[in-house]
Amino acid sequence: MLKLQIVIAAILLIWLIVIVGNIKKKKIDLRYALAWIALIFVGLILDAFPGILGALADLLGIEIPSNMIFMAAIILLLVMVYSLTATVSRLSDRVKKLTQELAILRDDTFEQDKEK
Amino acid sequence: MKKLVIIPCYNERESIVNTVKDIKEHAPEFDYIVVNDCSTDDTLEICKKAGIHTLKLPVNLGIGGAVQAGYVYGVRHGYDVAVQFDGDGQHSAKYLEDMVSALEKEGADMVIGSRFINKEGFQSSGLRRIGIKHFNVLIKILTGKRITDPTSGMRMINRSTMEFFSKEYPKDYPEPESVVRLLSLKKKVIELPVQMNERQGGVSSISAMKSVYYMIKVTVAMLIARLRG
Ligand SMILES: Nc1nc2c(ncn2[C@@H]2O[C@H](COP(=O)(O)OP(=O)(O)O)[C@@H](O)[C@H]2O)c(=O)[nH]1
Ligand SMILES: [Mg+2]
Repeated sequence: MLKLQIVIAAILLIWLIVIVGNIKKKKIDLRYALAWIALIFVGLILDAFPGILGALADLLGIEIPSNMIFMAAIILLLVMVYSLTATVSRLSDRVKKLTQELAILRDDTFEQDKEK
Repeated sequence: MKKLVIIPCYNERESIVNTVKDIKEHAPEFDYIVVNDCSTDDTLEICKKAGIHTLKLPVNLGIGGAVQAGYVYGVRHGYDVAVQFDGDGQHSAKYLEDMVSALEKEGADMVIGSRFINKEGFQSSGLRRIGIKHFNVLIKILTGKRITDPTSGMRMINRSTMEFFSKEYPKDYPEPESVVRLLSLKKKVIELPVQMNERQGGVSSISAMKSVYYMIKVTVAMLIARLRG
């Protein structure tokens, strides 16, 4: 049991280091990384105190604690992917606007040059 | 009155020059702008050589974003009327003045050039017509109005609709959806009979594969447009 806990903690810590490194290198935006960092800390806490999981599962009437982890993980992933869909939609709107502006700006300057 | 023809253009090397010529000959009162959406063939070079006024989108936006670029251009340059016009030779410029008259006389917000009022000229392929029938019925249910040719790409709008579309316009397959949107806002949409031609070369952007997706997407978009009210 302790062995598994140490392995999980090590994986989570390596992941945290990778994320922080990526933020430092500006590979990812802190705004979007925050959710992942929070997730890692929750994981570390549950890993250190496995009793919390059992108690929570009891509370919700879920018989096997691991099922609760699966359920929580799936819900969390759905939320995260959905928020990515929202982000992509917003980005594509912005790209559209910028593209249109750029094309019109280019045309306006070109037409002005022609008149000179 | 300043009038603008907006010609969305994606890979129309065989027909774009004639389309512009048609407008210059049969609708000389109109200015025009071709919106080249990163054509992958030599459409852009052909336009340059022929001295055709072209907006060059630096990335491909699809038909909705391209036409909307034209509307933004029209608003900025003080146009009173804008008309969308296919670059593939399917539309005839000789109808444009009649559309302006109808727009003004009826006080309409949009005039659609319809193939299906007099049922003359190119009537689109059989499968396409089934899809159009479906949109006819859906629009009737959603808005109570009868629009015979909701997918027509020949559509004239007044200044206030231009301002509205320059702010919000569907990205892909915009025609039926934006008609529902206008009708839901109690805008006046009328139709004028026109004859259309078959495409003069090139390929349609709506292939058989895409048409199923097209039908589903547009149907959902129309329902949502109605819900927005
Ligand atoms: N700007 C732009 N124009 C497009 C795009 N796809 C199609 N078009 C243009 O929109 C017009 C109508 O498209 P078309 O494929 O003929 O549709 P159809 O007439 O309904 O079969 C033509 O002038 C095309 O060149 C696109 O992705 N971007
Ligand atoms: Mg066409």
